[in-house]
Amino acid sequence: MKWLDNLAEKSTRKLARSSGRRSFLAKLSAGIVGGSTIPLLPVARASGGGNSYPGVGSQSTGNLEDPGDPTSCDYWRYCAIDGFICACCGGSANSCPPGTEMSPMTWIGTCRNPADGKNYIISYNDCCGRTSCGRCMCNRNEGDVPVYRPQQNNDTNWCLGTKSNVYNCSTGVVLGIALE
Amino acid sequence: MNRMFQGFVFGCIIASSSVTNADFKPEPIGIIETLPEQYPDHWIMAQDLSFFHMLEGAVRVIDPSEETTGDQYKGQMTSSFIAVFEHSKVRNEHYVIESFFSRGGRGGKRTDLVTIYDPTSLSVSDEIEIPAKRLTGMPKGTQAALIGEEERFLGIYNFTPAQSVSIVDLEKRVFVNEVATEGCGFVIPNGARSFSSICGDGSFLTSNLDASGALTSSTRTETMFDPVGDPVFETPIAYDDNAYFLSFSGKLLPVNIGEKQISAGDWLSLATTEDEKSWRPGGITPMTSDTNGNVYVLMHPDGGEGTHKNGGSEVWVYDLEKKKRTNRIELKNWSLVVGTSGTGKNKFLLATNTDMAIDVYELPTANYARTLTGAGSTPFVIDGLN
Repeated sequence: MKWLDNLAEKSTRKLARSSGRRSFLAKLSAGIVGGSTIPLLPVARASGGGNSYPGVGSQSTGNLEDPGDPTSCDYWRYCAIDGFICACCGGSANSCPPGTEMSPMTWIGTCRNPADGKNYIISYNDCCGRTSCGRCMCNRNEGDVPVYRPQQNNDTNWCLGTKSNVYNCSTGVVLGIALE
Repeated sequence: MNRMFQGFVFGCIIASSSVTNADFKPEPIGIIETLPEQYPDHWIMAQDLSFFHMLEGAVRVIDPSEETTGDQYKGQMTSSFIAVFEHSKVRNEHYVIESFFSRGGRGGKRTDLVTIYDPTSLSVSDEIEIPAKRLTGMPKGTQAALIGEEERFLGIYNFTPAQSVSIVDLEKRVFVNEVATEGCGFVIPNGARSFSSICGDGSFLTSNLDASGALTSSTRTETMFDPVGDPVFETPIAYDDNAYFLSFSGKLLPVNIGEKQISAGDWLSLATTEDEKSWRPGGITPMTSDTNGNVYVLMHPDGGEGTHKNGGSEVWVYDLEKKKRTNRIELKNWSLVVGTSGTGKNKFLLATNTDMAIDVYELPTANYARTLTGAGSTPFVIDGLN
Protein backbone atom coordinates (compact mmCIF):
# COMPACT_ATOMS: atom_id res chain seq x y z
CA MET A 1 0.00 0.00 0.00
CA LYS A 2 1.45 3.34 -0.98
CA TRP A 3 0.82 4.95 2.37
CA LEU A 4 2.88 2.21 3.91
CA ASP A 5 5.59 2.78 1.32
CA ASN A 6 5.51 6.50 2.06
CA LEU A 7 5.82 5.92 5.77
CA ALA A 8 8.67 3.55 5.08
CA GLU A 9 10.33 6.20 2.93
CA LYS A 10 10.12 8.71 5.77
CA SER A 11 11.83 6.14 7.96
CA THR A 12 14.50 5.85 5.30
CA ARG A 13 15.10 9.58 5.36
CA LYS A 14 15.53 9.38 9.09
CA LEU A 15 17.95 6.52 8.62
CA ALA A 16 19.92 8.57 6.10
CA ARG A 17 20.77 11.12 8.71
CA SER A 18 22.47 8.53 10.85
CA SER A 19 24.17 6.26 8.34
CA GLY A 20 26.63 6.45 5.49
CA ARG A 21 25.58 7.67 2.04
CA ARG A 22 26.27 4.44 0.20
CA SER A 23 24.29 2.28 2.54
CA PHE A 24 21.51 4.86 2.51
CA LEU A 25 21.28 4.82 -1.29
CA ALA A 26 21.28 1.04 -1.34
CA LYS A 27 18.41 0.90 1.15
CA LEU A 28 16.55 3.75 -0.50
CA SER A 29 16.75 2.12 -3.91
CA ALA A 30 15.32 -1.08 -2.45
CA GLY A 31 12.47 0.96 -1.02
CA ILE A 32 11.80 2.83 -4.23
CA VAL A 33 11.90 -0.27 -6.40
CA GLY A 34 9.49 -2.01 -4.11
CA GLY A 35 7.29 1.03 -3.77
CA SER A 36 7.10 2.14 -7.37
CA THR A 37 6.69 -1.20 -9.08
CA ILE A 38 3.27 -1.87 -7.63
CA PRO A 39 2.56 1.37 -5.80
CA LEU A 40 -1.09 0.93 -5.04
CA LEU A 41 -1.49 -2.60 -3.86
CA PRO A 42 -2.26 -3.08 -0.19
CA VAL A 43 1.10 -4.55 0.52
CA ALA A 44 4.64 -3.33 0.49
CA ARG A 45 5.84 -6.00 -1.87
CA ALA A 46 9.43 -6.96 -2.50
CA SER A 47 10.81 -6.65 -5.98
CA GLY A 48 13.74 -8.27 -7.75
CA GLY A 49 14.66 -10.29 -4.71
CA GLY A 50 14.91 -7.21 -2.47
CA ASN A 51 12.83 -6.37 0.55
CA SER A 52 10.53 -3.35 0.25
CA TYR A 53 11.03 -2.25 3.85
CA PRO A 54 13.86 0.25 4.11
CA GLY A 55 16.33 -0.79 6.75
CA VAL A 56 15.20 -4.41 6.65
CA GLY A 57 17.63 -6.59 4.77
CA SER A 58 16.30 -9.42 2.66
CA GLN A 59 16.65 -12.93 4.01
CA SER A 60 15.41 -16.42 3.31
CA THR A 61 13.90 -19.27 5.23
CA GLY A 62 16.60 -21.48 3.72
CA ASN A 63 13.94 -24.13 3.33
CA LEU A 64 12.90 -25.05 -0.20
CA GLU A 65 9.61 -26.41 1.10
CA ASP A 66 8.82 -23.07 2.77
CA PRO A 67 10.22 -20.57 0.27
CA GLY A 68 10.44 -16.82 0.73
CA ASP A 69 11.51 -14.02 2.99
CA PRO A 70 9.75 -13.99 6.39
CA THR A 71 10.44 -10.23 6.67
CA SER A 72 8.68 -9.54 3.37
CA CYS A 73 4.97 -8.89 2.99
CA ASP A 74 5.11 -11.11 -0.09
CA TYR A 75 5.98 -14.22 1.93
CA TRP A 76 3.38 -16.82 0.98
CA ARG A 77 1.98 -17.49 4.45
CA TYR A 78 1.17 -13.79 5.01
CA CYS A 79 -1.72 -13.85 2.49
CA ALA A 80 -4.24 -12.64 5.10
CA ILE A 81 -2.05 -10.91 7.65
CA ASP A 82 -2.72 -7.42 9.00
CA GLY A 83 -0.16 -5.86 11.28
CA PHE A 84 3.53 -5.64 11.99
CA ILE A 85 5.48 -8.72 10.89
CA CYS A 86 7.04 -10.34 13.97
CA ALA A 87 10.08 -11.48 11.99
CA CYS A 88 11.03 -7.78 11.86
CA CYS A 89 10.39 -7.30 15.59
CA GLY A 90 12.55 -9.89 17.32
CA GLY A 91 10.36 -12.88 16.60
CA SER A 92 9.93 -14.98 13.47
CA ALA A 93 7.18 -16.10 11.12
CA ASN A 94 5.90 -18.45 13.83
CA SER A 95 7.29 -17.06 17.09
CA CYS A 96 6.89 -13.93 19.20
CA PRO A 97 9.61 -11.47 20.27
CA PRO A 98 11.13 -11.91 23.74
CA GLY A 99 9.03 -10.52 26.55
CA THR A 100 5.74 -10.77 24.68
CA GLU A 101 2.94 -13.30 24.99
CA MET A 102 1.28 -15.07 22.05
CA SER A 103 -2.49 -14.74 21.86
CA PRO A 104 -4.13 -18.15 22.33
CA MET A 105 -6.94 -17.34 19.89
CA THR A 106 -6.94 -15.64 16.52
CA TRP A 107 -8.21 -15.64 12.95
CA ILE A 108 -7.46 -18.32 10.41
CA GLY A 109 -6.43 -17.88 6.79
CA THR A 110 -5.72 -20.23 3.92
CA CYS A 111 -2.63 -19.59 1.82
CA ARG A 112 -1.11 -21.44 -1.12
CA ASN A 113 2.49 -22.55 -0.71
CA PRO A 114 4.24 -22.01 -4.06
CA ALA A 115 6.66 -24.86 -3.31
CA ASP A 116 4.04 -27.60 -3.58
CA GLY A 117 0.95 -25.71 -4.77
CA LYS A 118 -1.02 -26.87 -1.74
CA ASN A 119 -3.23 -24.70 0.46
CA TYR A 120 -2.23 -24.49 4.10
CA ILE A 121 -4.20 -23.33 7.15
CA ILE A 122 -2.45 -20.34 8.70
CA SER A 123 -3.09 -19.10 12.25
CA TYR A 124 -2.28 -15.40 12.58
CA ASN A 125 -1.55 -15.24 16.31
CA ASP A 126 -0.75 -11.79 17.66
CA CYS A 127 2.08 -11.11 20.09
CA CYS A 128 1.05 -9.01 23.05
CA GLY A 129 2.39 -7.09 26.01
CA ARG A 130 4.63 -4.56 24.26
CA THR A 131 3.49 -1.49 22.38
CA SER A 132 3.28 -1.52 18.56
CA CYS A 133 6.47 -2.82 16.98
CA GLY A 134 6.02 -0.32 14.16
CA ARG A 135 8.21 -2.21 11.68
CA CYS A 136 7.22 -4.05 8.50
CA MET A 137 3.54 -3.17 8.43
CA CYS A 138 1.77 -5.62 6.14
CA ASN A 139 -1.87 -5.88 5.14
CA ARG A 140 -3.10 -8.59 2.80
CA ASN A 141 -6.68 -9.69 2.70
CA GLU A 142 -7.14 -12.97 0.82
CA GLY A 143 -10.24 -14.58 2.29
CA ASP A 144 -10.74 -11.74 4.78
CA VAL A 145 -14.37 -10.93 5.53
CA PRO A 146 -15.86 -8.34 7.91
CA VAL A 147 -15.62 -8.44 11.69
CA TYR A 148 -19.07 -10.02 12.13
CA ARG A 149 -17.34 -13.23 11.05
CA PRO A 150 -14.43 -12.80 13.47
CA GLN A 151 -12.82 -16.15 12.75
CA GLN A 152 -12.12 -14.90 9.21
CA ASN A 153 -11.29 -11.27 9.96
CA ASN A 154 -7.91 -9.58 10.35
CA ASP A 155 -9.06 -6.12 11.52
CA THR A 156 -9.43 -7.20 15.13
CA ASN A 157 -6.83 -6.87 17.87
CA TRP A 158 -6.52 -10.51 18.86
CA CYS A 159 -4.56 -9.82 22.05
CA LEU A 160 -7.38 -11.47 23.95
CA GLY A 161 -7.02 -14.06 26.68
CA THR A 162 -3.52 -12.74 27.30
CA LYS A 163 -2.17 -10.90 30.36
CA SER A 164 -1.95 -7.74 28.29
CA ASN A 165 -4.23 -6.53 25.49
CA VAL A 166 -1.52 -4.31 24.04
CA TYR A 167 -0.66 -5.37 20.47
CA ASN A 168 2.95 -5.74 19.36
CA CYS A 169 3.13 -7.77 16.12
CA SER A 170 1.62 -10.68 14.14
CA THR A 171 2.85 -14.16 13.28
CA GLY A 172 1.69 -16.66 10.65
CA VAL A 173 1.82 -20.17 12.08
CA VAL A 174 1.23 -23.06 9.65
CA LEU A 175 -1.28 -25.41 11.27
CA GLY A 176 -1.89 -27.93 8.55
CA ILE A 177 -2.94 -28.67 4.99
CA ALA A 178 -6.36 -27.32 4.05
CA LEU A 179 -8.91 -29.80 2.79
CA GLU A 180 -10.17 -29.04 -0.72
CA MET B 1 14.03 28.06 40.68
CA ASN B 2 13.21 29.33 44.12
CA ARG B 3 10.66 32.01 44.76
CA MET B 4 13.18 34.71 45.62
CA PHE B 5 15.02 34.15 42.33
CA GLN B 6 11.76 34.06 40.36
CA GLY B 7 10.78 37.39 41.89
CA PHE B 8 14.17 38.83 41.02
CA VAL B 9 13.92 37.78 37.37
CA PHE B 10 10.36 39.06 37.07
CA GLY B 11 11.39 42.36 38.63
CA CYS B 12 14.24 42.73 36.14
CA ILE B 13 11.89 42.09 33.21
CA ILE B 14 9.41 44.67 34.45
CA ALA B 15 12.18 47.16 35.18
CA SER B 16 13.87 46.76 31.81
CA SER B 17 10.63 46.99 29.86
CA SER B 18 9.60 50.16 31.70
CA VAL B 19 12.98 51.71 30.86
CA THR B 20 12.93 50.86 27.16
CA ASN B 21 9.29 51.66 26.37
CA ALA B 22 6.97 53.34 28.80
CA ASP B 23 3.93 52.56 26.56
CA PHE B 24 4.65 48.88 26.21
CA LYS B 25 1.93 46.60 27.58
CA PRO B 26 3.04 43.05 28.21
CA GLU B 27 0.79 40.35 26.85
CA PRO B 28 -1.19 38.44 29.47
CA ILE B 29 -0.10 34.91 30.27
CA GLY B 30 -2.58 32.09 30.54
CA ILE B 31 -4.94 32.71 27.62
CA ILE B 32 -6.70 29.49 26.53
CA GLU B 33 -8.72 29.52 23.32
CA THR B 34 -12.30 28.28 23.22
CA LEU B 35 -14.51 27.06 20.40
CA PRO B 36 -18.07 28.11 19.55
CA GLU B 37 -20.83 26.24 21.37
CA GLN B 38 -22.23 25.11 18.03
CA TYR B 39 -19.51 24.37 15.50
CA PRO B 40 -20.02 25.62 11.92
CA ASP B 41 -21.57 22.74 10.06
CA HIS B 42 -18.63 22.29 7.70
CA TRP B 43 -16.07 21.63 10.45
CA ILE B 44 -14.76 18.08 10.67
CA MET B 45 -13.57 15.75 13.40
CA ALA B 46 -10.52 13.91 12.05
CA GLN B 47 -9.70 10.86 14.12
CA ASP B 48 -6.06 9.83 14.10
CA LEU B 49 -5.91 6.18 15.16
CA SER B 50 -2.15 6.62 15.56
CA PHE B 51 -1.70 3.11 14.27
CA PHE B 52 2.06 3.08 14.90
CA HIS B 53 1.63 4.42 18.47
CA MET B 54 -1.80 3.19 19.48
CA LEU B 55 -1.85 4.71 22.95
CA GLU B 56 -1.43 8.21 21.54
CA GLY B 57 -4.44 8.74 19.28
CA ALA B 58 -6.19 12.08 18.84
CA VAL B 59 -9.42 13.55 17.51
CA ARG B 60 -8.75 16.89 15.85
CA VAL B 61 -11.23 19.67 15.14
CA ILE B 62 -10.53 21.11 11.71
CA ASP B 63 -12.09 23.75 9.46
CA PRO B 64 -11.46 22.36 5.96
CA SER B 65 -12.57 25.58 4.26
CA GLU B 66 -9.59 27.59 5.46
CA GLU B 67 -6.34 28.03 3.56
CA THR B 68 -3.79 28.29 6.33
CA THR B 69 -2.83 25.81 9.00
CA GLY B 70 -3.44 28.36 11.74
CA ASP B 71 -7.01 28.84 10.59
CA GLN B 72 -7.66 25.16 9.87
CA TYR B 73 -6.69 23.63 13.20
CA LYS B 74 -8.98 24.40 16.11
CA GLY B 75 -7.89 21.93 18.77
CA GLN B 76 -7.73 18.28 19.70
CA MET B 77 -8.82 15.65 22.17
CA THR B 78 -6.78 12.61 23.08
CA SER B 79 -8.04 9.14 22.21
CA SER B 80 -6.17 6.23 23.73
CA PHE B 81 -5.70 2.81 22.11
CA ILE B 82 -7.52 2.81 18.76
CA ALA B 83 -10.49 4.61 20.29
CA VAL B 84 -13.98 5.41 19.00
CA PHE B 85 -15.44 8.91 18.66
CA GLU B 86 -19.14 9.85 18.92
CA HIS B 87 -20.98 13.17 19.13
CA SER B 88 -24.47 13.84 20.48
CA LYS B 89 -26.36 16.66 18.84
CA VAL B 90 -29.06 16.50 21.49
CA ARG B 91 -26.60 16.80 24.36
CA ASN B 92 -23.93 18.72 22.43
CA GLU B 93 -21.17 16.56 23.85
CA HIS B 94 -18.21 14.71 22.42
CA TYR B 95 -17.55 11.13 23.53
CA VAL B 96 -14.26 9.27 23.23
CA ILE B 97 -14.54 5.57 24.00
CA GLU B 98 -11.03 4.57 24.89
CA SER B 99 -8.77 2.22 26.86
CA PHE B 100 -5.97 2.90 29.29
CA PHE B 101 -3.39 0.53 30.71
CA SER B 102 -1.89 0.94 34.19
CA ARG B 103 1.55 -0.03 32.89
CA GLY B 104 1.39 1.90 29.63
CA GLY B 105 2.85 0.17 26.60
CA ARG B 106 3.29 -3.17 28.34
CA GLY B 107 -0.25 -3.39 29.60
CA GLY B 108 -1.25 -3.92 33.22
CA LYS B 109 -4.79 -3.31 34.39
CA ARG B 110 -7.00 -2.20 31.52
CA THR B 111 -9.58 0.50 32.14
CA ASP B 112 -12.14 1.36 29.46
CA LEU B 113 -13.82 4.73 29.66
CA VAL B 114 -16.39 6.86 27.93
CA THR B 115 -14.61 10.18 28.23
CA ILE B 116 -16.99 13.11 27.83
CA TYR B 117 -15.62 16.33 26.35
CA ASP B 118 -17.17 19.77 26.40
CA PRO B 119 -17.13 20.95 22.75
CA THR B 120 -16.47 24.57 23.70
CA SER B 121 -13.47 24.12 25.97
CA LEU B 122 -12.41 20.67 24.71
CA SER B 123 -11.86 19.82 28.36
CA VAL B 124 -13.01 16.59 29.98
CA SER B 125 -16.33 17.16 31.70
CA ASP B 126 -16.88 13.59 32.92
CA GLU B 127 -15.77 9.96 32.68
CA ILE B 128 -17.87 6.82 32.75
CA GLU B 129 -16.11 3.51 33.38
CA ILE B 130 -17.37 0.64 31.24
CA PRO B 131 -16.46 -3.07 31.15
CA ALA B 132 -12.94 -3.41 29.77
CA LYS B 133 -14.00 -5.48 26.80
CA ARG B 134 -14.79 -3.11 23.93
CA LEU B 135 -13.66 -4.25 20.47
CA THR B 136 -10.28 -2.84 19.54
CA GLY B 137 -9.10 -2.93 15.97
CA MET B 138 -9.39 -1.08 12.70
CA PRO B 139 -12.15 1.55 12.87
CA LYS B 140 -15.75 0.71 12.00
CA GLY B 141 -18.48 3.31 12.21
CA THR B 142 -20.75 0.93 14.08
CA GLN B 143 -18.49 0.10 17.03
CA ALA B 144 -20.63 2.46 19.13
CA ALA B 145 -23.84 4.44 18.62
CA LEU B 146 -26.24 6.75 20.40
CA ILE B 147 -29.52 4.97 20.96
CA GLY B 148 -32.99 6.52 20.83
CA GLU B 149 -34.25 9.88 19.65
CA GLU B 150 -33.37 11.42 23.00
CA GLU B 151 -29.84 9.99 22.68
CA ARG B 152 -29.92 8.96 26.30
CA PHE B 153 -28.08 5.70 25.83
CA LEU B 154 -24.75 4.92 24.27
CA GLY B 155 -24.18 1.37 23.05
CA ILE B 156 -20.60 0.04 22.77
CA TYR B 157 -19.71 -3.19 20.94
CA ASN B 158 -17.72 -5.70 23.02
CA PHE B 159 -15.58 -8.54 21.71
CA THR B 160 -13.70 -10.94 23.99
CA PRO B 161 -14.39 -12.89 21.54
CA ALA B 162 -17.83 -13.31 23.14
CA GLN B 163 -19.97 -10.58 21.62
CA SER B 164 -22.15 -8.13 23.53
CA VAL B 165 -23.07 -4.45 23.75
CA SER B 166 -22.44 -2.28 26.84
CA ILE B 167 -25.26 0.17 27.50
CA VAL B 168 -24.31 3.50 29.10
CA ASP B 169 -26.91 5.91 30.50
CA LEU B 170 -25.59 9.32 29.46
CA GLU B 171 -28.13 11.13 31.61
CA LYS B 172 -27.14 9.35 34.83
CA ARG B 173 -23.53 9.02 33.69
CA VAL B 174 -23.34 5.31 34.48
CA PHE B 175 -22.88 1.97 32.78
CA VAL B 176 -26.22 0.22 33.21
CA ASN B 177 -26.32 -3.05 31.34
CA GLU B 178 -24.60 -5.52 29.06
CA VAL B 179 -26.73 -6.95 26.27
CA ALA B 180 -25.57 -10.29 24.89
CA THR B 181 -25.61 -10.46 21.07
CA GLU B 182 -24.46 -14.03 20.49
CA GLY B 183 -23.05 -14.49 17.01
CA CYS B 184 -23.80 -10.89 16.07
CA GLY B 185 -21.81 -7.69 16.33
CA PHE B 186 -21.94 -3.90 16.16
CA VAL B 187 -24.48 -1.27 17.16
CA ILE B 188 -26.76 0.11 14.48
CA PRO B 189 -29.37 2.47 15.96
CA ASN B 190 -32.78 1.83 14.49
CA GLY B 191 -35.35 3.77 16.49
CA ALA B 192 -36.43 4.49 20.03
CA ARG B 193 -34.35 2.57 22.56
CA SER B 194 -33.44 -0.13 20.08
CA PHE B 195 -30.46 -1.20 18.01
CA SER B 196 -29.55 -3.85 15.48
CA SER B 197 -26.45 -5.99 15.06
CA ILE B 198 -25.04 -7.83 12.03
CA CYS B 199 -24.81 -11.58 12.44
CA GLY B 200 -22.21 -13.93 11.04
CA ASP B 201 -24.77 -15.79 8.92
CA GLY B 202 -25.97 -12.66 7.10
CA SER B 203 -28.99 -12.01 9.32
CA PHE B 204 -29.73 -9.17 11.72
CA LEU B 205 -30.45 -9.18 15.45
CA THR B 206 -32.55 -6.40 16.97
CA SER B 207 -32.32 -5.70 20.72
CA ASN B 208 -35.02 -3.61 22.39
CA LEU B 209 -34.36 -1.76 25.65
CA ASP B 210 -36.65 -0.43 28.35
CA ALA B 211 -36.46 3.02 29.92
CA SER B 212 -33.66 1.90 32.22
CA GLY B 213 -31.53 0.46 29.43
CA ALA B 214 -32.34 -3.18 30.21
CA LEU B 215 -33.06 -5.67 27.41
CA THR B 216 -36.79 -6.34 27.00
CA SER B 217 -36.86 -8.43 23.84
CA SER B 218 -34.88 -9.36 20.78
CA THR B 219 -35.70 -10.61 17.30
CA ARG B 220 -33.59 -12.15 14.59
CA THR B 221 -34.24 -12.01 10.85
CA GLU B 222 -33.68 -14.52 8.10
CA THR B 223 -30.39 -14.41 6.22
CA MET B 224 -30.37 -11.27 4.08
CA PHE B 225 -26.97 -11.38 2.39
CA ASP B 226 -24.21 -13.88 1.67
CA PRO B 227 -21.55 -13.21 4.35
CA VAL B 228 -18.90 -15.21 2.51
CA GLY B 229 -19.74 -14.94 -1.21
CA ASP B 230 -20.46 -11.20 -1.20
CA PRO B 231 -20.20 -9.79 2.33
CA VAL B 232 -21.29 -6.28 3.25
CA PHE B 233 -19.02 -3.78 4.97
CA GLU B 234 -19.82 -3.26 8.66
CA THR B 235 -20.94 0.37 8.44
CA PRO B 236 -24.15 1.27 6.55
CA ILE B 237 -25.50 4.65 5.48
CA ALA B 238 -28.65 5.65 7.35
CA TYR B 239 -31.23 7.39 5.18
CA ASP B 240 -34.99 7.47 5.03
CA ASP B 241 -35.54 4.78 7.72
CA ASN B 242 -33.24 2.44 5.82
CA ALA B 243 -29.71 1.31 6.48
CA TYR B 244 -27.88 0.93 3.15
CA PHE B 245 -25.15 -1.71 3.36
CA LEU B 246 -22.37 -1.82 0.77
CA SER B 247 -21.27 -5.20 -0.55
CA PHE B 248 -17.74 -6.10 -1.58
CA SER B 249 -18.92 -6.44 -5.20
CA GLY B 250 -20.27 -2.87 -5.27
CA LYS B 251 -23.99 -3.14 -4.55
CA LEU B 252 -26.13 -1.41 -1.93
CA LEU B 253 -28.60 -3.40 0.16
CA PRO B 254 -31.42 -1.34 1.70
CA VAL B 255 -32.59 -2.75 5.03
CA ASN B 256 -35.61 -1.11 6.64
CA ILE B 257 -33.93 -1.08 9.99
CA GLY B 258 -36.53 1.23 11.57
CA GLU B 259 -39.38 -1.28 11.28
CA LYS B 260 -40.32 -3.93 13.83
CA GLN B 261 -40.18 -6.58 11.13
CA ILE B 262 -36.90 -5.92 9.39
CA SER B 263 -36.73 -6.80 5.72
CA ALA B 264 -34.32 -6.11 2.88
CA GLY B 265 -35.15 -4.32 -0.36
CA ASP B 266 -33.74 -4.93 -3.81
CA TRP B 267 -30.01 -4.63 -4.35
CA LEU B 268 -28.90 -1.37 -5.98
CA SER B 269 -25.89 -1.49 -8.28
CA LEU B 270 -23.21 1.21 -8.31
CA ALA B 271 -22.02 0.07 -11.74
CA THR B 272 -24.10 1.15 -14.72
CA THR B 273 -22.32 -0.78 -17.50
CA GLU B 274 -20.70 -4.19 -17.87
CA ASP B 275 -17.26 -2.56 -18.08
CA GLU B 276 -17.75 -0.92 -14.71
CA LYS B 277 -18.34 -4.20 -12.93
CA SER B 278 -14.61 -4.79 -12.53
CA TRP B 279 -14.55 -1.72 -10.29
CA ARG B 280 -14.88 -2.53 -6.60
CA PRO B 281 -15.36 -0.54 -3.41
CA GLY B 282 -12.56 -0.56 -0.89
CA GLY B 283 -10.69 1.26 1.81
CA ILE B 284 -10.36 1.71 5.54
CA THR B 285 -13.50 3.88 5.57
CA PRO B 286 -14.86 3.26 2.05
CA MET B 287 -18.30 4.89 2.21
CA THR B 288 -19.90 8.09 3.46
CA SER B 289 -22.98 10.19 2.72
CA ASP B 290 -24.18 13.78 2.81
CA THR B 291 -27.30 15.41 4.17
CA ASN B 292 -29.03 15.19 0.76
CA GLY B 293 -29.00 11.43 0.55
CA ASN B 294 -25.97 11.14 -1.72
CA VAL B 295 -23.73 8.18 -1.00
CA TYR B 296 -20.01 8.49 -1.78
CA VAL B 297 -18.10 5.25 -2.35
CA LEU B 298 -14.35 4.89 -2.78
CA MET B 299 -13.76 2.68 -5.85
CA HIS B 300 -10.78 0.98 -7.48
CA PRO B 301 -10.44 -0.70 -10.90
CA ASP B 302 -9.54 -4.36 -11.41
CA GLY B 303 -11.01 -5.39 -8.10
CA GLY B 304 -11.32 -8.95 -6.89
CA GLU B 305 -10.69 -11.28 -4.00
CA GLY B 306 -8.85 -9.49 -1.20
CA THR B 307 -8.95 -5.96 -2.69
CA HIS B 308 -11.68 -4.62 -0.38
CA LYS B 309 -9.25 -2.52 1.68
CA ASN B 310 -7.24 -1.18 -1.25
CA GLY B 311 -8.87 2.24 -1.35
CA GLY B 312 -9.47 3.85 -4.71
CA SER B 313 -8.78 6.40 -7.42
CA GLU B 314 -12.41 7.47 -7.80
CA VAL B 315 -15.45 8.21 -5.68
CA TRP B 316 -18.78 7.14 -7.14
CA VAL B 317 -21.85 9.08 -6.12
CA TYR B 318 -25.19 7.32 -5.72
CA ASP B 319 -28.36 9.35 -5.18
CA LEU B 320 -30.64 7.41 -2.82
CA GLU B 321 -33.61 9.61 -3.71
CA LYS B 322 -33.30 9.06 -7.47
CA LYS B 323 -32.06 5.49 -7.01
CA LYS B 324 -29.27 5.99 -9.53
CA ARG B 325 -25.60 6.67 -9.72
CA THR B 326 -25.13 10.31 -10.60
CA ASN B 327 -21.40 10.92 -10.78
CA ARG B 328 -17.90 9.48 -10.90
CA ILE B 329 -15.37 11.74 -9.20
CA GLU B 330 -11.76 11.25 -10.23
CA LEU B 331 -9.66 11.91 -7.15
CA LYS B 332 -6.47 13.93 -7.21
CA ASN B 333 -4.76 11.19 -5.19
CA TRP B 334 -5.39 7.54 -4.45
CA SER B 335 -7.29 7.51 -1.16
CA LEU B 336 -8.21 5.14 1.64
CA VAL B 337 -10.81 7.05 3.65
CA VAL B 338 -13.78 9.24 2.73
CA GLY B 339 -15.93 11.60 4.78
CA THR B 340 -18.21 14.57 4.19
CA SER B 341 -19.20 17.75 5.97
CA GLY B 342 -21.22 20.89 5.54
CA THR B 343 -24.10 22.29 3.56
CA GLY B 344 -24.65 24.98 0.95
CA LYS B 345 -21.49 26.71 -0.21
CA ASN B 346 -19.43 24.97 2.47
CA LYS B 347 -20.09 21.40 1.57
CA PHE B 348 -17.06 19.13 1.26
CA LEU B 349 -15.92 15.66 0.38
CA LEU B 350 -12.83 14.71 2.39
CA ALA B 351 -10.46 11.92 1.40
CA THR B 352 -7.43 10.70 3.33
CA ASN B 353 -4.82 9.96 0.67
CA THR B 354 -1.88 7.57 0.72
CA ASP B 355 0.39 10.23 2.25
CA MET B 356 -2.08 10.29 5.16
CA ALA B 357 -3.02 13.91 4.28
CA ILE B 358 -6.65 14.90 3.77
CA ASP B 359 -7.68 16.13 0.32
CA VAL B 360 -10.64 18.53 0.32
CA TYR B 361 -13.10 18.61 -2.58
CA GLU B 362 -15.95 21.11 -2.89
CA LEU B 363 -19.41 19.67 -3.42
CA PRO B 364 -21.41 19.34 -5.57
CA THR B 365 -18.77 20.34 -8.16
CA ALA B 366 -16.20 17.86 -6.76
CA ASN B 367 -13.49 20.41 -7.53
CA TYR B 368 -10.28 19.83 -5.60
CA ALA B 369 -9.77 22.72 -3.19
CA ARG B 370 -6.78 22.00 -0.96
CA THR B 371 -4.94 19.39 1.09
CA LEU B 372 -4.87 19.35 4.88
CA THR B 373 -1.56 18.13 6.22
CA GLY B 374 -0.72 17.35 9.80
CA ALA B 375 -4.02 15.74 10.72
CA GLY B 376 -2.00 13.01 12.39
CA SER B 377 -0.08 9.97 11.22
CA THR B 378 -3.16 7.87 10.36
CA PRO B 379 -6.42 9.89 10.11
CA PHE B 380 -8.63 6.89 9.36
CA VAL B 381 -12.02 8.40 10.27
CA ILE B 382 -13.40 11.78 9.21
CA ASP B 383 -16.78 12.89 10.54
CA GLY B 384 -18.80 16.01 9.93
CA LEU B 385 -20.96 16.72 12.95
CA ASN B 386 -24.09 17.65 10.98
